[in-house]
Amino acid sequence: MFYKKKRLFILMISLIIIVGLIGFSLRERTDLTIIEDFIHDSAGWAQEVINKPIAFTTGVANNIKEIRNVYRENQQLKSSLDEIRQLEYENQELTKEIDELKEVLDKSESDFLQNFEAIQASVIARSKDQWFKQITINKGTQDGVQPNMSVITGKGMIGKVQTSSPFTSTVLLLNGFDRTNRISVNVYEEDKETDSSGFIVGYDEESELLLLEMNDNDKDLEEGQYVFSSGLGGIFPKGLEIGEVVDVEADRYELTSIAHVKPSADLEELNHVIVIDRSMTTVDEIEEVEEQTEEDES
Amino acid sequence: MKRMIPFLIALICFLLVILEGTLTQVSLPILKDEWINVSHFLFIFLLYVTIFFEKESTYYAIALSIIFSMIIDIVYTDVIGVYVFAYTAVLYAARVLMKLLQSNFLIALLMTTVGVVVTDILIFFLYNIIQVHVDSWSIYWQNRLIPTGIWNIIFGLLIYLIFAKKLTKWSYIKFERAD
Repeated sequence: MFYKKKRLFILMISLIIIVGLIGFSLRERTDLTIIEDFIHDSAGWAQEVINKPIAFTTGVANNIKEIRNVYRENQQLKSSLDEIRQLEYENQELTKEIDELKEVLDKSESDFLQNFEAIQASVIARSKDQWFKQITINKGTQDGVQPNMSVITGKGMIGKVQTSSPFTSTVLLLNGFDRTNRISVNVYEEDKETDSSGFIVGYDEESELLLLEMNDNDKDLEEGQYVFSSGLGGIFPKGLEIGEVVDVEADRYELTSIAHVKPSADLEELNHVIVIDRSMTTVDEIEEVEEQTEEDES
Repeated sequence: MKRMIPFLIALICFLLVILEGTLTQVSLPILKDEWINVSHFLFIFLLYVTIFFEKESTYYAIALSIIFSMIIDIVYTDVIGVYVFAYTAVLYAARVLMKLLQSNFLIALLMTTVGVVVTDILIFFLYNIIQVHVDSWSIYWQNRLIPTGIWNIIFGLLIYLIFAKKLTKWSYIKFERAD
């Protein structure tokens, strides 16, 4: 009799603890507890060790596959080299001009939305449950990675830092974004002087495309146009490539247009990523710093 | 040796947890794009611990399950508690069942299949309740349940070949050999 009661008691207690834990972790939070930081880092260290031989083998297999295409690619690359030389020259001239203009305006580096510092990182694991679109990278707060920084590859943006521990961080991929973490973007339209603006509001699982909601009913929006971050959201710097418009439709009330955007970066195969530290400080960050100094003083 | 055995099992558990994340990162070309295969290696290994190692009065599998599924929850997901609950509950049920069943290959295979399917369905419902995903049941069982089941049974056989004999031996050393 007593034995049965004891077992029931343990069962109830553990159920309550689990429900409590789920409730605790479901809150929107960017700061982890010390225990979580510790587990993240020690698991991350082991992951890095185990990942090396596996990444090496898959790398060799991919290289063999790629060798077959080398000749054809080489021809294409040669032809595009000339164009790039031209572009490079233009780029140099423009940078010089911008630098001069900046001096005239008397603004510092951190006053521009485009400026950022890059932190190189490698992917060491992916969430084992694919309902969570997150990857683990091998750089943490010790290397300057903070929550909410944007993460890119050479091809385009892939997501943002969700949480960071001292030596590892988790990155939320673009296909896990929802309305609570949307991105303010510009669409580049060739024959217009100003870019049209909008928001990436989420990800469509079925078509595997991002949903772009324009701020107004834009008639010039069409497929093939490129989508860049506008830097106005307070988190991402300006000018990171996000994707290409695939199709456009009006929303239910025909007030705004909604477009589907194909992400430029391949979200499935990620090995090396770059974390972007925006130079310009936002109002929130300034307030935070002020609060901290006040606390220190008192 | 006698005292080291539980720690050895714990080390294997840790390595399996790490391997789950690393293998997800490797994309195999034979798999279709919309298929999702989730690795439950830790669960399968603890199932074999329950079948081949555990005695009536010991709770090694349950204790290890609580510790290491907590690590899975923290490292791989946002929500702490779902994997802890799913793994531990199914392992406890398996433990109760093993009092009636013998430990041999067929039973192990049967338990792996049923265990993985039940665990994954449990995880599906729990995540559905707290709105981590909004997949419907029909999409779920076609795209995730069947690939996950097959993937885990293949790895279950592998883990069986490597560890079943060893676990039986360890159980003998730990509980029965007098020294």
